Amino acid sequence: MMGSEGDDKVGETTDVMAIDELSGADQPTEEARREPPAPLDDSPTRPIPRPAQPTISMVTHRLQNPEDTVGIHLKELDTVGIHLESVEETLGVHLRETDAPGTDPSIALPQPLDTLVASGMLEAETVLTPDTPWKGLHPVSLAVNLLPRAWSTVRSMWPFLLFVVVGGEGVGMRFVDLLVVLIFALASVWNTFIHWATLRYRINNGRLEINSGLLNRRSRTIDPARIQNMELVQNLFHSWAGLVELRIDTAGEQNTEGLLSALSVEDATVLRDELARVGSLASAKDDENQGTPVVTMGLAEILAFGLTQRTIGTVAVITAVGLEFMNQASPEVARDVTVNMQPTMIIAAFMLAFVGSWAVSALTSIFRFFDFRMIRLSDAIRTTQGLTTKRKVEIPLSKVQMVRTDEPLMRRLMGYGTVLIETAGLGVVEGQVRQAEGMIPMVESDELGRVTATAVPHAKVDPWVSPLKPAHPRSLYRAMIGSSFRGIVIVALGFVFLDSLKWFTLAVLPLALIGAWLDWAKQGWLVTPTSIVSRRGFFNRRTFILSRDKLQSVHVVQGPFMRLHGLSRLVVRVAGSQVSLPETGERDTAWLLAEMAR
Amino acid sequence: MLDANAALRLDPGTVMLWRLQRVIRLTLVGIPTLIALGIAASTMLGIRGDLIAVLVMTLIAMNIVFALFWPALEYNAYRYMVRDQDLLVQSGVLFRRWSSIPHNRIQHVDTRQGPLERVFGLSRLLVFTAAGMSADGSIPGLRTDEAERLRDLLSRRGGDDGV
Repeated sequence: MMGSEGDDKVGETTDVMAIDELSGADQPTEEARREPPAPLDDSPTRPIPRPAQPTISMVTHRLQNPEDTVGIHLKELDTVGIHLESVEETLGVHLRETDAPGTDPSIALPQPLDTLVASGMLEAETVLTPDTPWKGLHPVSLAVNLLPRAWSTVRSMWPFLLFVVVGGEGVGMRFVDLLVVLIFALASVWNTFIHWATLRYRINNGRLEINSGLLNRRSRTIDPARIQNMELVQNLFHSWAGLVELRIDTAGEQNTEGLLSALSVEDATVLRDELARVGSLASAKDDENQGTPVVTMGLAEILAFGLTQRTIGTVAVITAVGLEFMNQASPEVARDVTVNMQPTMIIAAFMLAFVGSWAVSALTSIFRFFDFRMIRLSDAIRTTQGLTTKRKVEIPLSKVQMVRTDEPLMRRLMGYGTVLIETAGLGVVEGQVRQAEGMIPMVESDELGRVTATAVPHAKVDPWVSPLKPAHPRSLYRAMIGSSFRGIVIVALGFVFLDSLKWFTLAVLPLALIGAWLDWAKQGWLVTPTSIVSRRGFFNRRTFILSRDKLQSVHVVQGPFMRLHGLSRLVVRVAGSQVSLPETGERDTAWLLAEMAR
Repeated sequence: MLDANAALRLDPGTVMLWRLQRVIRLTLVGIPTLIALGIAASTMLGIRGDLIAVLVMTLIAMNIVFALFWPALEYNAYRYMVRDQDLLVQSGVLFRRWSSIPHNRIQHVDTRQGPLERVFGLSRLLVFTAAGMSADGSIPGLRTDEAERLRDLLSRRGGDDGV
């Protein structure tokens, strides 16, 4: 059966190619409008290109033989006549609209007919949305952006700055370091200037077009229906000048696809509402006051978040940097200190580092999360936060890929957890890849189920109520062996490097075993017809919840030792991230794989 | 986990291709590195030269044996199957992996062919979904016409991509 199908396909391929030539008049318009020319894109981290608009390829599949093509073209001409002749580039749109009813019935429709028609209606509406003229950024935004941008660049280069201030090996090196910092700061200023001077945006045919660049010109078209999330940022300078920065993420690229820094608040509101009219964002009518508040955070909760945020890793880094600093300032003293350091001194230093890092962390979380609120609109989630820099993130519910909750031990004991909402848009914010697009820092433990259900309504599951299935008993055995090995390595290192304290490192072994047991005991998974839930970890308990309709692919992995125990692990991928379930036995895995394929 | 009777296997020529690829990689990278390491060990650490020579020779011999027999195991582990709802691929000798990619989530399908693969008349099939940058499923060592048949078969279905 497969073979005969294959033969058919070979024949069809040539047909399609012939049609491409025949319908040369309208195909290029379609493509030219949809895809920004690739060479203009200068970002180095461009992923493997994938068709941004699957609908285009659907059209080519439809045009099976010349007769069909003619039929469709005639209809197309009709529609053009009936609809708006004056609007430019409607052909592509109408092609999409008309291709739904006039298809070869032998070919299965990729979507239910009504949704296609609905999308056709959407396209018709698209044509009716007014196109806006090209607009630039707000004139004042250059002055507003220059200082913060330069500052954030300089701040991100703190190791160099440290050398400049402390000055390691003589004046010459110090000068070179300063030069490096200056060059980067200047480059960032220059980029800001180019962004401000050359960026133009408009809405054309219901799509947002953004052109920018002086030497490397970039022209980008964003389909509002593809927007994964939108962020409005207003730092102190912005709010003084009445400006706001827009960040629009679509799926795929590492960078924020649409950055408009900055527009006046009125312009931004107009643009947002225009995009919302055709896209997946909440409609303009859904004003903030009309949404239902889901979470708000008090000052005490923000402080608690900050205090439970920092871990031993940060403290270690701070201590190391402190020692290094001392080493640079007065090497003799530093040597004396490190050589003669008593255990009590070490502990005291660590305590100091803890307190310092907690204070910093609490302070930054106040700045970040002051007045945090999360609102559920009819088809989107909106979070607002910030003391000086105000952030407003809007995530269409249809774009939520996964929800993760982090319940680190400290936070869990206080009765709280953190909810992270992930979409397919991988945003880069101030040079760092953002973990999740939406973050609700502190949610009371008994509210977690309700909040996550708001973000993934289709999952219809509450892992804090429904019992999860445990990990396979034999995986405990595996985890114990693994953690003892790690423990032995730590003990060995301790015996080599520590002198008087070496016997204390033996305590690592039982602790590792207990840790492995706790980790195992708290694992769990659940697969319902609508959802997948995975929970891992004791010290930092993480629960992943995803809706089955977002699933992209399913993998089962099995290492040699896992095979020995008849275990394997299921990994589920959604757009932008992946989740692995706890280890399961052969029967469970087979059931899972069969269940997922349904 | 995968019905051994219904599953399809790679082209038998793949074993030879993989052997050749491994041997080429060994001669270009592996053997020079081993020799360089051996020389470095004998000069810098002052270990006896003849001892090092024996060690390096053994390692090279082991690598060659490995390069010759491992591809057969890899070939044996590889199975694939186009089912009603998904494409199922099994792979891996020590670390086994089963990948199930639903048809309606396939964004695009590539066939690729390197120069050596062209000599053998083989192609690789890469299946991409919206999940990530890398291919979600890959089937190496297909006869070129089979790879193209699969590519056309898999890329033809559409649907909601869940993004």
